[in-house]
Amino acid sequence: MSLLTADVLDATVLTPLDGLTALYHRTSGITHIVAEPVPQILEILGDKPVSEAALFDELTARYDVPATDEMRAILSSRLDELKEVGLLASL
Amino acid sequence: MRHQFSVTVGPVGFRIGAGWADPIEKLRALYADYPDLSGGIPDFTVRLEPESFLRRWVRPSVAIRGDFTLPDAFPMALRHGLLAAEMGMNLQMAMGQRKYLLLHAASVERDGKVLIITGESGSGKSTLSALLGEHGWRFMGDEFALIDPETGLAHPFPRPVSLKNQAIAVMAAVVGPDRLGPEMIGTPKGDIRHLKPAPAAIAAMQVPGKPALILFPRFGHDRAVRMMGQSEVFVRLTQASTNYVYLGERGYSALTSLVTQTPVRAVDYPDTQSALDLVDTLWGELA
Repeated sequence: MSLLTADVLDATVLTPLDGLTALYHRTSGITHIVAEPVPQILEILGDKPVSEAALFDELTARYDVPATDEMRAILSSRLDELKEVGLLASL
Repeated sequence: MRHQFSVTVGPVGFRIGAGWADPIEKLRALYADYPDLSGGIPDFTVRLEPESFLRRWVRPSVAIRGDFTLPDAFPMALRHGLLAAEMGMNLQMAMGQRKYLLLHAASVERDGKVLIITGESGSGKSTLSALLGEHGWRFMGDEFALIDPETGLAHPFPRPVSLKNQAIAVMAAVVGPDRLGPEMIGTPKGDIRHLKPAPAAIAAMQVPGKPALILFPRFGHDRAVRMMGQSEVFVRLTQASTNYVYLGERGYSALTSLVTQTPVRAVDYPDTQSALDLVDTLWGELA
């Protein structure tokens, strides 16, 4: 199973703005406005690369996220979007 | 260039050259109270050139050139040379300014605290800042607010206010004729007349202030005040900035600090008196 890694630790600056979060990606110089659970995903991946299944388990354990197939699908979509903008990669 | 003029506006030095004497003479009159560069090196150069050799004399038209140029910009009639100079100065600032985060906004100061008024063209920010400048506030600029990324302070850029259409009569009723420049009728931006800032505003043009309130006004609607979320304000201000992307992380830090530390309101107003009342009320509550 491939592991996910995030371009986060020194490469991003996150600033909470009310309910959303501004994210400056140093690598690309692009500013993103992201909603939950993106900051939470990046926080978990900041520690070490993990599989998508392990990421999902971590999110359900840490936050009030139900462990349903619907949530798994939502997470998959968010991960694809993050890969597209270069914040996330599969190892 | 045959005719030259240099001037300092806030922290920025300009050198303006022209192929004709007339626009330079008008600039000298309009900027008579501003310090010149005193032999210093200009930050930006603007050149007002004949579109072609013949066009110096035959239906003369002005092409705006400088350190930064818009290749497809239409030339303007020589009688609108003053407006061409102003557009040239704006263009150099918008494309070349790297020291400050540039917000397309008017600003005024009171007690060391700065009110930033932003919004699209036609929102009334120029007229409102000019009026406030005659009602106990220090006018800091009607076009660009300069945010220093290192300190978060707003620096003045108090160029003469470019009054458009109805705003000309509004301000002519408040200030003496010595404060107004020549009328330019039928320019690409409508009728234009410049207003010289009050002498005290020009004298204090090197003095920055701390942003204390940001307003997004809309002219021509019933009086209303609306809260705005920080993320909406952040996105709107990135759009109002001409150099946010160029500044990279310095711009990001400056803008997130501004947005998270400064109260913001969207305000609608039907007329200028309502706008002045609204500003007084909100300033008392929030700044």
